[in-house]
Amino acid sequence: MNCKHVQELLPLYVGRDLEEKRAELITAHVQSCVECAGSVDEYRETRQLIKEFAPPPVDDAVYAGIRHRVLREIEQEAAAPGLSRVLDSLFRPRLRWAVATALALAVSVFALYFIANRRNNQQQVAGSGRTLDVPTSPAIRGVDVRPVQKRDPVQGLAGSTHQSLRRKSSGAAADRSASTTVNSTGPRLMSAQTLPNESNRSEADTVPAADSATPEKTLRVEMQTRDPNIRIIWFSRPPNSKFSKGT
Amino acid sequence: MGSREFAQMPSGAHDMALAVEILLPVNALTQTQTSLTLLIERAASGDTAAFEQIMIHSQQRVMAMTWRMLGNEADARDASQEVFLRVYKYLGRFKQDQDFFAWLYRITVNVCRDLAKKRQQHSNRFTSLTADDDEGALAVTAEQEDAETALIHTQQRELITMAMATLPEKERASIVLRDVEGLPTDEVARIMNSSPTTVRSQISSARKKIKIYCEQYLRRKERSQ
Repeated sequence: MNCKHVQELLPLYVGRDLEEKRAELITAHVQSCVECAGSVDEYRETRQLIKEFAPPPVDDAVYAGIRHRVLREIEQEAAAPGLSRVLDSLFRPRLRWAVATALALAVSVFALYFIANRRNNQQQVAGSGRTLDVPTSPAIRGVDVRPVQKRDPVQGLAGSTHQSLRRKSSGAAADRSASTTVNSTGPRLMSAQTLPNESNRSEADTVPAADSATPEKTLRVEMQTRDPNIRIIWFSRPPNSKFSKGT
Repeated sequence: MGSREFAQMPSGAHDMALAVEILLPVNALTQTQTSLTLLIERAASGDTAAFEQIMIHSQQRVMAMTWRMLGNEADARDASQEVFLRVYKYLGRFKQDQDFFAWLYRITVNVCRDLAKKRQQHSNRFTSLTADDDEGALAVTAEQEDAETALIHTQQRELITMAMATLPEKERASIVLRDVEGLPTDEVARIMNSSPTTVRSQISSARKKIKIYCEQYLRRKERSQ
């Protein structure tokens, strides 16, 4: 060990904060080096000075004053309404992460809901006008979006399904002109087979005249599955209506 | 308060019996810890009288620590008050297997750090003892000491106070806990929420800086005389 290395370790050596082996090496060096031995003495004096770094005596009245103020504040807090205490308990270190996660989750859900709702509104606005030509998956035979009359969800679903089937058998070409249709890009979950005599365009189903006249509109999406007897119909309403969707 | 042991007489003695009562000294430390544990339990359940006893039991340590960290009595008083308020607030979370004073020191260090941050001019406020004299509360006990010795003590205290003021906050806390309070490095690391290696480095740096400061101060003083 040279002097430079020893000098670096002396502050820890004087406080016995070094491992035993290193301390022994330094002891051996200090015994043979006058300069380092002098530094050790200086560090010891400094350390002694630090040890004596005590505040001057404090009056009992000062302590009594501190205690009195603390107890008074505790009493005031105890008498205060519980809201601050509830908030304090919510932001305890243990709960802090849970609260933060819950808040982040709530914000995410709200953002998703907001985005989804905004998209629906846009579709509704577009749907209330004319047909939108949006590329459709070839697997999906047709997706209709139209306003329907307010009715019981179950009845409405059953009724519309029957209407669709009925219209399909009788020919819906005449009704297409009166329908409001959107080819949605959204649902791609089904793999329905394209029928030989029909193109990829969406099937436009008729909406009864009474339905379209109602002030409250329901978004209705129909999807034909591979099985001609199964059609998925999805209803969606604005968020303020009593029921928002049904299948 | 104590336990009694009776030395039985030899079996040969039949008409007389002698009982020797030995009063064993009660372990003061265990008793203190037990009473402190009880006080903590009672205070945690809202007993303010018990909490006042805890304050009386620990006020000197807290005041000394805050004074060493902040360097003046006014800040030390404010910090001590805040320390006890926090202790009361979080007493319910204190685990009985923990060392109460280590927990108390941790709160004290945090309070001093917060207070120092709040007062941007902390280094300017780190005043020497003489600045506190006019308040009267920290009166130098000159009457009790020889005048010359008192002067030397005052000068030394002033010197170390000024040297401490030059240290960064963490180094000051580490050196106070290690060298003044005499806690082991591992304990200091736990209180500081740091590693023993970091604490050792802080302690080494602090000792070196204080030594250099003292040397320079004394050299300047010699030149001026």
